[in-house]
Amino acid sequence: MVPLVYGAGVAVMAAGRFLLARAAPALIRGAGSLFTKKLTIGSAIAMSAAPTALSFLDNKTGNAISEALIKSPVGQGLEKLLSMNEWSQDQKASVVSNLVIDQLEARGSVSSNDADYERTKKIADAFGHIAIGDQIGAATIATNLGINTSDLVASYNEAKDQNPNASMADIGVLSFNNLRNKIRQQELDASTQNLQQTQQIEQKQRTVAPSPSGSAGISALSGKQLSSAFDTAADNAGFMGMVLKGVSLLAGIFGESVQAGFQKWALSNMETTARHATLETASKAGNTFSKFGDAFGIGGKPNLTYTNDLEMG
Amino acid sequence: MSKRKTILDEMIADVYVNKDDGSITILHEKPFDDELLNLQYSAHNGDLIFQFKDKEMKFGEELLGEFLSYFRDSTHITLLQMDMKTKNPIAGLEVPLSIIYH
Repeated sequence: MVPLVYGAGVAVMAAGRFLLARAAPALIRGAGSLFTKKLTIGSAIAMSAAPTALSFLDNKTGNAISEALIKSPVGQGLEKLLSMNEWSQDQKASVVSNLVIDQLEARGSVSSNDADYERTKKIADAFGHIAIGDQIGAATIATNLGINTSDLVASYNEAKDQNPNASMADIGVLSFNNLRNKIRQQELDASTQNLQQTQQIEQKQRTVAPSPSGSAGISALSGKQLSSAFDTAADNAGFMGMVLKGVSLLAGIFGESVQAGFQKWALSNMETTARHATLETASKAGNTFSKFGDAFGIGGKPNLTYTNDLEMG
Repeated sequence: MSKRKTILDEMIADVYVNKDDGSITILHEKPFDDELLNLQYSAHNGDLIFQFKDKEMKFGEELLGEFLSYFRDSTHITLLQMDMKTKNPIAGLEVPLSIIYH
């Protein structure tokens, strides 16, 4: 029975190896291990290099401890375990992120059949790292996923502020919903901005050249229509399918991209010089970055792929 | 199987982001040997694909991290061919940018 297993696991934490050894036969279950499942995050190296007492015991018992934790209600017991120093950050984050994923699946928000399931799991990993205070781990995952780390943290903090007594799993689910809404709004804002830019450029082009063929449809849409179309796209794409796909989904609906309104444009000598001067000025003010640095005498600093600007509330 | 050539295999080039106005500019050393029609950016893996009239070429370095949000918010990119001796621009082009998510 799971509650008994969980209780035994907690007792083990308090009493040490002896009790665990006695409880082990009852704890062993055949299902896959939490730690084994999550070693891909990078914990494999940490665990093999310096196995903690807990991971050692967990392995010895066929991963019964972690298996029990993942199946158990989140409560003070888990919170206490997460505060133990002998757990690595990745191990702790794994416990939390698996709880979040389990809750999301149980509530029907995600399914292992979703095309974006792996991405969803990685976002859960990021929330797991935030929940245990591992900002670097969370930011690294977020950066790799193309998500603003500040959005990730804000989503988590909002969930905690609004639900101070909620369980860790509930906070995880609420954080997901907050993040989804943030990204949805950002995509919508970007789409609306693109629409406005398209309309402005088409207007400009009409004064100097015929409009490019096939670009009329998108510019005829109002912001409200765009929002409605976005909602449809999001519904069709499922929970995480909409993340980072807003513009392309809209393009799919209308059979053309927002960018289709633009044509290539040869710059005049004056425009070329002006563009270069603008870039140079921004660079001197420290407001540019580039992939490689200063090959062209502009002075841009190399791209920083990760900036730790997290502020935990 | 030989690796497909990239822009960086053929010339010195770099991608600059101006944080003041969010614009993206590519500086390159030589003229392209085909007509450049547009650029395509993969938000998934950071590839920047140059779509010419008769071929496609990748930039040759992934552009993720800070680059991603700027590419995602851009609809066009400026390309400036540079004189490497004087460090002044020779010719400029503005091309459409589309974003792909796979």
